[in-house]
Amino acid sequence: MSHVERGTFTKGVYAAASEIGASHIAQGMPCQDACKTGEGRGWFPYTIVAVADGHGDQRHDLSDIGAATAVEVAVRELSNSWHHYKLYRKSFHDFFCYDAGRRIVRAWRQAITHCAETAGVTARPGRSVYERYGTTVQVAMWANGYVLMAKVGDGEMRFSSDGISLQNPFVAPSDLDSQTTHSLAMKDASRVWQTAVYPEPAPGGYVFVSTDGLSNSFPTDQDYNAYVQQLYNVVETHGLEAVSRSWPSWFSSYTHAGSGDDITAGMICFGLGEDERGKQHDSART
Amino acid sequence: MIQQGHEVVSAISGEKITVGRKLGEGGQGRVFTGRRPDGTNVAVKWYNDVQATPDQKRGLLHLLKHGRPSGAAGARFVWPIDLVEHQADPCFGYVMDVIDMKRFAELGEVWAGIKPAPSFRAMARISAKAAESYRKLHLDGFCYRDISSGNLLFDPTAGDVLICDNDNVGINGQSTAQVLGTMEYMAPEIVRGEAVPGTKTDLHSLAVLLFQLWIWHHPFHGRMEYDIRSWDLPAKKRVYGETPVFIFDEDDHRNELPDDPEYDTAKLRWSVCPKPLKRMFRRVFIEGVERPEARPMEGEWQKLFRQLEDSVVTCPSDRAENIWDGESSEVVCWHCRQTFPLPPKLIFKQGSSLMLDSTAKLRYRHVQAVDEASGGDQTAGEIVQNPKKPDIWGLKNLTDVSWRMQKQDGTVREVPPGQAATLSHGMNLTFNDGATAYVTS
Repeated sequence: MSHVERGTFTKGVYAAASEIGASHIAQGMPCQDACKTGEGRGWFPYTIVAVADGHGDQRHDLSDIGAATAVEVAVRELSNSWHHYKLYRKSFHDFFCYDAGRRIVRAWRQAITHCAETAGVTARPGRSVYERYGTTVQVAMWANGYVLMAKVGDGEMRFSSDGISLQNPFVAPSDLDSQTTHSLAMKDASRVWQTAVYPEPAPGGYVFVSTDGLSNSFPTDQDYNAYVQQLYNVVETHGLEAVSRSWPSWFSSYTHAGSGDDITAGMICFGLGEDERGKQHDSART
Repeated sequence: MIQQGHEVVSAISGEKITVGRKLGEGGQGRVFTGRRPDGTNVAVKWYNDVQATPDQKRGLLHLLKHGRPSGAAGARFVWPIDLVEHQADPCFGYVMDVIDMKRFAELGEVWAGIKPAPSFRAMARISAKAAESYRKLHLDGFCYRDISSGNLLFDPTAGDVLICDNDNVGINGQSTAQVLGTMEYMAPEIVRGEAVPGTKTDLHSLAVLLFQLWIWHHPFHGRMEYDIRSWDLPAKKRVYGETPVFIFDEDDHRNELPDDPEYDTAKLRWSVCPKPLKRMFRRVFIEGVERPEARPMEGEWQKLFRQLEDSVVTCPSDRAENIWDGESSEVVCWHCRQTFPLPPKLIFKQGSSLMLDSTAKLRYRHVQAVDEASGGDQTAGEIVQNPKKPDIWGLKNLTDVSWRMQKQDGTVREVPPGQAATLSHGMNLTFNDGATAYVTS
């Protein structure tokens, strides 16, 4: 199953897409990734792209729901907080860096508690019920001249201020091996909320975010970075709408040839997509 | 905006600095590497157009005129070295020393597992040094105005400290602040709009930062914050300014920690927090929110943390670091819960003590008057074990002058540099400047 969302905002275009992994298809499992976008128009516009990667093994058997809840909650909490803080740039940045992690983790747990109680799901002995829904979450937001990025857990984010250079704002935790990730289900999840804030890039700049299903399809970080740069070149030529329409099939080929994992990616491009402006936010499930 | 390869010109020295690669980018501007004509590396912070204001420039020039605060305490400030400008860019920036980001960590990086968590001893050293440096800044007539976890860098192993983003530093009571601070760290009277940032409000921010370092939590984030659905500015104003209730207030339970796994770490860390530190936190976050004059001064924090550093004892069962509370006759290891006896102590004439644990370090501040340049932090002695008789311990003299040792039976011996005084109950030691101490078990 594929899921694509895309839209335009005052400074450019954005899109996100999820594609089920080859190994999940083979095992009859659902896609445990999720993505969601959000935007606000008017005097105080903003754009949010959120992606999540459910952990997906037997201990986290409901992580597809956990991931879908995570992106839902992240977009909602950030949208609501933007309405509260939109007149105060520093206050919003402080909220994003110091509070948003705690508030998103808490809202996710409340939603999961409700979901579990409704479905009669119980915790395994000695574990929390949240573990069954374990997931990462990554968000990229544009608002009031800044790009704000944050994450709990693995996955990759890249920022380009000019369409040429590429920065990875986040360092991988040293307390985890490559097979382990931080999770919204951890009791200390709000403390592992990593953030980065950049001034809005010039036209041609962009933000790219993906779950590790995509980055693990490449042998090295350099290969992944090269892919992101090439992808942006294609977006520049053909537009993000056309490219994001193709993402499910591209991601499907990557997962079959590469990681086997679900793949989700999102992008916010600045100064692109003039022709797409004015179109309504478009969400399609195929 | 300047880019790699541009040359910026120092306003004071006139030297040209070649801009190198971008190190980072934030809300205020960008930070680049830079190279001076003599080949030395510096960092260049370049403000974006919103931040590059005449006020900011005036403030920077004042900091440059004054110079970095002196001594070991002042050296921890990553102070602006020179203002820099570029002919084609109306903005400006400043030059500062390069920070070794492999060595130094932000608290957020520790929480996120990116850098190792400091031990009790390292936390005590970080806390004492931070307090000492802010004291020095305040004594020089400045206030920091935006103390927060993002501005304090520390070496999680050695406990060394750097204080960055000093461009917000201003003259206490005089210069106007471009920022009021970060609300989480703001003194309640600033949040309520009754005061502007100054040295007194810095003391509150410092206490919040120290609390976060030790407890990994905010002192006012309890039930009251938990129950607020919309965490907006009025809500923050209520929690941080109008009704600030300490989460560990034993008499006021309105803001105690909810029964939620989110708070497990804070509860655990508070349970192992040394009693004297708990008392200090209660004082600053209960009395100090009402009466700013009740807030502990930086010197009090420094003295407390030095004593805590000197009170570290290692559990013989699991080697976990514990801190003796200064009262109990034995220690219950916070990690393995086993009880173990206290090691001998060195009691100094002025009343402080050093637990003679195998990992203890005697420092120059123990044995002689502290000179500002060094801060008294270098090791003056260390505990050594007799290689032939492992149950005999000694204090090795690492200074360059002899000590005098007097045993309980009255015999006197000199302890030359490089040699150790065998530790025994009741022995007296006379150090470099005539400072004295005795050993008690």
